[in-house]
Amino acid sequence: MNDDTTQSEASGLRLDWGVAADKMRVWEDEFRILHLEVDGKTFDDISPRKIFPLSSKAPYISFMADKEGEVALLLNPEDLDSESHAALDFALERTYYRLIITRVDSIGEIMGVSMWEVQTNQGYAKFEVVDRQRHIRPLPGGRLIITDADGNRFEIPSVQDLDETSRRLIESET
Amino acid sequence: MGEGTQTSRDSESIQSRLAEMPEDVRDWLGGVLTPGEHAAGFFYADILESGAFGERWNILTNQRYLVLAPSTDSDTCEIGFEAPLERVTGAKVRVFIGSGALILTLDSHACEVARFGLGSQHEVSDVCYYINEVVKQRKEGKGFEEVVVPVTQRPSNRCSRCGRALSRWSEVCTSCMDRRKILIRLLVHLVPYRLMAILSLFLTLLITLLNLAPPLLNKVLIDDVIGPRNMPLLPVVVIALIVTSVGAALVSIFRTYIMQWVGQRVLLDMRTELYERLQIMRLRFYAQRETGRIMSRVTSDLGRLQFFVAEGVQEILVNLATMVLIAAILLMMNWKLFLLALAPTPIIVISTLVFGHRIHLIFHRIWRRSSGLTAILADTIPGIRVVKAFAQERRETTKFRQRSEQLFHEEMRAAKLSSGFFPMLRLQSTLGSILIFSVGGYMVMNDKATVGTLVAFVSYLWRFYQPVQQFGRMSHWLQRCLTSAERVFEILDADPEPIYNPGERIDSMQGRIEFRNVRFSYEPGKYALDDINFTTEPGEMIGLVGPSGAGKSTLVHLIARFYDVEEGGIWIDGHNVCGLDLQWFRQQIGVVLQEPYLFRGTIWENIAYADPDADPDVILASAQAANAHEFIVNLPDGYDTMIGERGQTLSGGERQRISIARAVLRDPKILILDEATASVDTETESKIQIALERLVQNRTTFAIAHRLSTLRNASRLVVLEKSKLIEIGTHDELLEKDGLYAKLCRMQAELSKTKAW
Repeated sequence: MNDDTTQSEASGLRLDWGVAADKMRVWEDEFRILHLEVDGKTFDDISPRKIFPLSSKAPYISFMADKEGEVALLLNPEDLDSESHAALDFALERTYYRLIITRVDSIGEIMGVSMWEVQTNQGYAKFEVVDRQRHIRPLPGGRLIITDADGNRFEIPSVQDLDETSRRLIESET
Repeated sequence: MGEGTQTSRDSESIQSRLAEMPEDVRDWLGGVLTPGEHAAGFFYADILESGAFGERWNILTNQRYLVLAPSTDSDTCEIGFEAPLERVTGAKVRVFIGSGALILTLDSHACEVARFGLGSQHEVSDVCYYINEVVKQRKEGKGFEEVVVPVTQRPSNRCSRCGRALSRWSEVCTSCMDRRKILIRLLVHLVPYRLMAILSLFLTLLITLLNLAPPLLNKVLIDDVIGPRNMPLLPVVVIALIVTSVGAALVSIFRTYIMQWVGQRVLLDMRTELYERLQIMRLRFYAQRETGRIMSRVTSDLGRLQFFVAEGVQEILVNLATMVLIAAILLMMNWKLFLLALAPTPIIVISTLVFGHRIHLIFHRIWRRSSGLTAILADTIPGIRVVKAFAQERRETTKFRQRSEQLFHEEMRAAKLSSGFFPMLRLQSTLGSILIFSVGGYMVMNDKATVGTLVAFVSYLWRFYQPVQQFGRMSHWLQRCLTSAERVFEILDADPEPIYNPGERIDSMQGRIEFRNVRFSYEPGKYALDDINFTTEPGEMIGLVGPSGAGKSTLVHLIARFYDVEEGGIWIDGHNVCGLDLQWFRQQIGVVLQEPYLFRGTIWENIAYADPDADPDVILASAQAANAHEFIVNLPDGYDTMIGERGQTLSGGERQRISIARAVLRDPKILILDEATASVDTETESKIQIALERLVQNRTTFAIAHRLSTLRNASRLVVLEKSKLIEIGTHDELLEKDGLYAKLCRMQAELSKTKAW
């Protein structure tokens, strides 16, 4: 295994198009459009994408423009200046909108479709999940990402931290 | 003979083959050889010129090619044909349908010298190859004794012990399998869990003992309590009855759990062992078997074995113990009655044996039919688009129904046999007890036995017949288990790839590849590659061109050692590929196939397949090099997107680019592109082409492509036709030569004009 890593590194497989935070500025205008300035060049109406949105293997953020595709790959978002950081966080929050489930009230099932009634950080929610294997995705640390029949996303940061009833209900579903 | 190791190995192998020459042929040959002449090779040809069966011994000596024909009296022989070797300028084997012929070229005239059934084609091919080597090396000025003939090792399709044909290259003869050994091998799997297994056996015996108590207690109840009206003894006997029954129930619960535990553990071990073995099986094994049939060995066959190892063995032991114990009790109670009771036993045993044999044959057929059914499913469901496109739904359904009905008939044959057998077995036992009742009743009336004894006797007798009957049933599933075991062991015993064997590793591999006289065949006598000779320099890109079936894929398979070369050899940086550490060597090779296979998992995991611990930066760089980074980032979950069955659907081009990223990450020294862009549209192809151009830099690359334009960057082109290398050179050189490549180029140019129209 280690041999391979050394080989890969030796072959010059390097991420050489990444941009450091100090060369970048991000801001949002009053119409909620994100702008980006890299090395003095400005890009308008861009959308940020996390490279590893679920596994967080690396914090990289890719900035995509409609026509140009990827215009920049930010390596260290944590080091952005505070304004850019806030703007990026806000935009990412919108891109990866998900409700955090705090309690599961009930999970019923009819013909393979499960109906969830839950309490979230935004209040009560009810949704349906089709194809559990595909749409309930367990991640390390007891984290769970659930995509409902319409494509909305819900997250349980840690199943272990939920109450006993919620845990038992989720166990029957996963 | 010669001095080198290679030569002495050759002479050894030739000598060992000559040793197989029958005694009488050796004698005949002794009579016709001239001084200084000796045999170098031989084969038996069994078809005469007329097509009739006959006996012809073809012998290659250091001076002549000889055909010996036995005389009519069969004691002597005559020379049917002979030609001095100086006149022979070539030899070839012509394989017909169902027979073959050896054709010698004598002074530039072709001459058929032998016809043979295909059973001897290996030997004929060897002799033919020998002759050609002699001719070739003679031109180089070498004498007969100096000729070096590579040792040919073809897998035999017959069992070396019994000579029976092996089932489709299984390399294991099921007829020669020792059933007792199979049983022992199965039981070996219990060894790691022996304590639990012994505990479970002990509990089983305890239950058996507890179950034997009630008839004895009944006897006491009738003879000593009810008869003499002994009131104080009644509660004692009743309590004893309750204790034994409750005890048996409790022990039974515990035993069942332990037995399950042992069984599941054994299943886990065997399943892992089998799967591990399947991973390192040779590709030949997979090429010649349907996926469904292999899968059913891992699922249903193993399940049966688990049952056998966990419960079957105990059942046999317990039944034996029960029989012995009851026999002892019955003998002590009344030996005359016991001898009478034994009367039906031989009939039960014999009928059980006969039944066992017949049912075994039927079960074999049932297994074949049911895995055939699974194979149909594994075949048509993935190919459902073809079925629909050709509107063949009805035919497929009919085909499935026919197979299903065949299975039904076999199952019914088994049912008919079983449904007749078991009631007959019961009837025999019933008749036995009626006999005891009549004789025993007579004894009771004459005060030669008590009522209690008779009741206990009959009740024990039923318990005695039970294990006897169970042996009947046991032979039934024992046979089934043995059949399954045979199939599982066939995989475990087959010759796997030497993936874990130590071998040579080349320090700083350059990627210089040399093909020397390479020959290879998937089927005996039909070369998929014939006498391939060429050398590639490190970093060269070789385009493989030729019509379908010319041997292009076979050639790259041989480089990756998916198959081993049969004759000649492939040398990498001066090292024979067969002597290399296989696992290390495969790590130096990157393969991009026409239909990329992606596993169930995230995109990240698929790219990092060869190196799961790869740094994220390297993964991103590989994806970027493969032109895949952007489309991946655009997916909702980026590199964390699940793909494969039940995952995100990707287009053919996207899948291909992920597979290229996988190959890039590996940084192979040798790269194989097998029609990598054949199944994508032109726009995607250009994206893939850009990725590939980055990938091939500084690597020895073999690219197969039908679209010749995709090989425009190739340093040289190797043109194959009918298993032979016919042209090699750069694009310009080959155009100038005006051979097959030039013709193919012209055809494709015309085709693109037609397309434009």
